[in-house]
Amino acid sequence: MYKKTSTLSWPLIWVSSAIVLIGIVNLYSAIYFWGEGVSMALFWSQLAWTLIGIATVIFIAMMDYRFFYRFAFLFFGVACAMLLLSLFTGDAVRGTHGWIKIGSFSIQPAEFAKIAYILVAARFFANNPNPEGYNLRELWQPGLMMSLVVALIVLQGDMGSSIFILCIFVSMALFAKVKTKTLVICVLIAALAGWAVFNFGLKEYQRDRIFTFMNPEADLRGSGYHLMQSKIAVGSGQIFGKGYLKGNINKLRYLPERHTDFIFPVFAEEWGFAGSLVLLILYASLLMIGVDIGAHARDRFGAFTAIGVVSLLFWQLAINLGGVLGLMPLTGVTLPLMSYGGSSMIAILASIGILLSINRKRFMF
Amino acid sequence: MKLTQEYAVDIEGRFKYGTIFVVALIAIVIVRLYYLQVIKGAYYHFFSTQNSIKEITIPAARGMIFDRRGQVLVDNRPSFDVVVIPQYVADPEHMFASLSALLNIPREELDNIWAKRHSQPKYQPLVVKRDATPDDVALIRSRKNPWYDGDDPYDLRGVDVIVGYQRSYPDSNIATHVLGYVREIDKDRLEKLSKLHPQKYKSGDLAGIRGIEERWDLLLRGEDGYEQRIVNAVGREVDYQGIASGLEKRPAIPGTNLRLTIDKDLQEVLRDMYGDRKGGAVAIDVRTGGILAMYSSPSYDLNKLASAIGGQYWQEISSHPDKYLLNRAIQGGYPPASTYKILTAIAALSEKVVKPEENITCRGAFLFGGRPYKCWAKGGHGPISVHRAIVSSCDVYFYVAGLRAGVDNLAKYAKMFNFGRKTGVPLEGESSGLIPTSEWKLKRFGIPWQQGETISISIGQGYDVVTPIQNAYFTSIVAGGGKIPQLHLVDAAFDASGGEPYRWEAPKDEQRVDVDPSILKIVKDAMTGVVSEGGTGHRLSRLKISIGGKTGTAQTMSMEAAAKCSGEKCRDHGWFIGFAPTDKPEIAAAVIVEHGGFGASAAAPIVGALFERYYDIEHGGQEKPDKKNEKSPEKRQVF
Repeated sequence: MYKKTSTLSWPLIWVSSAIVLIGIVNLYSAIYFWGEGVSMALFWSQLAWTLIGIATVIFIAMMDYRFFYRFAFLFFGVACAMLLLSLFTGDAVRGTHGWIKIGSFSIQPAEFAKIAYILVAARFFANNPNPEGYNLRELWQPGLMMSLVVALIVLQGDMGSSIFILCIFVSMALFAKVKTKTLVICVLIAALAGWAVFNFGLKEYQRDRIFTFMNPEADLRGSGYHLMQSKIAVGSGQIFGKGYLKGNINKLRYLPERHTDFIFPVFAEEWGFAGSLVLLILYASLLMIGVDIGAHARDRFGAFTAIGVVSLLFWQLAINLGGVLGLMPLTGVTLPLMSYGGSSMIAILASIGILLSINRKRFMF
Repeated sequence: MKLTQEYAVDIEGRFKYGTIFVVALIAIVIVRLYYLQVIKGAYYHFFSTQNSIKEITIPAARGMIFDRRGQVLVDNRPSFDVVVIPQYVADPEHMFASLSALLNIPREELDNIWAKRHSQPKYQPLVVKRDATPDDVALIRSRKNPWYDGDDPYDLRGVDVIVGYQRSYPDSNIATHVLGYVREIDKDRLEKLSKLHPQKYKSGDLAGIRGIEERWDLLLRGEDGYEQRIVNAVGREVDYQGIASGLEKRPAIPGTNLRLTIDKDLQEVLRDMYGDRKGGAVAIDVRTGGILAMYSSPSYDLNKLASAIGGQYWQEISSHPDKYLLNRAIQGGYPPASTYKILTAIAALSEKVVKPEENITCRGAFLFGGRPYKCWAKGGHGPISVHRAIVSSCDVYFYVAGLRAGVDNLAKYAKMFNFGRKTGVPLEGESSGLIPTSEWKLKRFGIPWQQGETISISIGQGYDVVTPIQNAYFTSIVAGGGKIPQLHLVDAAFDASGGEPYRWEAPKDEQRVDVDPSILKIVKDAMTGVVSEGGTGHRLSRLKISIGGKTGTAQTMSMEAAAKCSGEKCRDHGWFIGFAPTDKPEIAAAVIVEHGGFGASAAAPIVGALFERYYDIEHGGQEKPDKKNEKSPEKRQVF
């Protein structure tokens, strides 16, 4: 029989704490400019969000995650309702809707919708095992829910977040095994759809970003400017970096969106390859601990939820880092736990709380 | 695998893929970082410093230009240029709308300027408004918000004000054509100059155009200095402790000043005497070849050209039918008319086809080939020698003398005196005029030379075309007894620190024309007679300086056409060439007044006034002591 003690995953706690701490220290530098009276308000608000997030982690880690199993659809429904609401009340921040304003706070329902989707998808896969592999028809339920969320997010104009939901769905389905034939058909359909979307579905700036990615030097002052400055910031950090608060590309405002999408270049410029290596190893540890928690989960729901959370973090890392390092087009995706953003910080910390909860329960029975 | 309570066969073996993907992702990112930060690190580090260091140009003051006595001809004044630095422009549409609204510049003009950004580095400023008023500058400075936040009505990111220099002229139209002007360099000129002087010119620079400003541009412009500043992405300078060390600064080297051979007072005389009449005049220092005065009428206003409406003004004058930009003194070609008789006399005497004392009888016309060639004096001059022929400008005498010498001998001597070719005055665009030879005519028209044509060219009509400077040069050589001085405009170049990179020096071996000095003396005496012996220039005999000279009245159309024509345009061009003082000539000049009528009445007074002012300057206005040969004019003559 199993020990009846509850077990906290200390490695997960240490690793996430380290990333959160690095994130806070780095955010201060990102917001700080040289020679100008810069408001540090963003920094203090992020600090507040982080504290709320930590409280959320503790609260969720204490809960039995089966609570999320029970109310998965409720969460999902609430998330969709919030998305719908933000469509009408949303501010035009950065040209997209997707924000709900409550007093002086804005929340981004898409961040929470990702978690809610992970829960409903995990519930589906947990309840419908299929060792032979799924075919397309069998995946209609999570597929439909995914389409719903994607549609709502796309309507807000937030291409980046909608890609995540798709990525999470695909990752979880692949993890649960998909029939080879179905996979091939899906790839073909995706290729066709991708072509159609690129030609008819994308906004001008989105298409520009793809062109810019293909040929960044062609338009150094337009969208290529961002990528070029990002590469210059990262590269100029060299091995040991320029030192804390000394990254001149960021400090002199050459780096756009430095506290959100381009937070990693800020870090890489000041801490160099050595610092980046440490950060990446921390991220890798975080994800691998997540996988491990899934592997040791008490039940299928726990396993799939853990895999969902890991895939969320995985894709966010991949798309953000790939974008700012010039490996793929820029999509405007934030870096988990590093970028400024209250909703994102709370959502990510909440999902880590779920991981802790899954881990805590694994030996309980 | 410890999934115990539930069915888990399907996923048990699949967790490892998660780990594989994670490791793969992190590995890819690390490899990419290694490439960017370690392999290409130095390269990007270089960019990161370039990114933030801006070189601010410290404009060099252009050299000043003085006349031969140190009077200021061209000065500088501080000016403010509104520029756009493409690198720092965030939103061109909004920025141009803002600029257009604030400075009242039409959008098309701004778009044209904006199009130039492709041909230069992004940090190089484009001038949108040169020489902006203090109000404009205040407007820009007060509206420019470094923390632009999207709600501001004006977006001036990338707009800047540069302090520079602008030319200013104490007297703005006095020596326009000699001086030339300064404008922003255009693409063609930049290409040309970059080839000639690599690294010296860049887009947006000012460059001298025409005249001294063009010829001496390299010395005049000096060398711009620069100062490195740390700027942030919105183009704002940043002062942050520790980051400003190691920045370079190089002061501007002001341009070299020039002292010309031109005399401002003489220019003033020419300008005032010409008034609204057109024409060109050149005065030369007989002893050195220095150009004392050079004027082309109509002149244009250099201060206006350097002002904010300069572009529009330039359009106006460059397309005007009066050809303002033409420097008539060196580019205007005119028939030399009777002034050319001096050359015919020199040629005939040198070729010994007439003797100095030989008389040729003028009966008012000369029959040649069954056609009468008229003398201006209907009654004729009777038997006349070369001296009297020049004094009274007898046409028949020179018909005969010219015929005896022949077209090619005339051309030989003409060439000796720099007719038909450039004088080499150091200015752009000099024209060479035309002196025909028999060979030239055969080549040009395929028809052999006609003797009758020699008759025309002997008195400076027909094919003959000369420029005022050629005629002045000719007069100067005759007055100087055959010495060919080297024409020059710049006496010395000197800088503020006392250096003198250039000083004009007379060539060591003196050039002389291959003409017997006694022959030159004969024509010189005759030219003196033109004024003092009641010749065609007798009106100048009352001045306090003794003058020698020759009038000329150039027909601009055939007699038949002239008879039908009426108004200003039908009048002949009036020439006068002269020198003074007669015993030891110092100054020689040629003046033409287009459609001024007779040379004696149109051009001679200008030369008279010029010489008188020269005399006042040089000799303090005292009565010339040796003006003894003066005779009261007995025979009043119209010419």
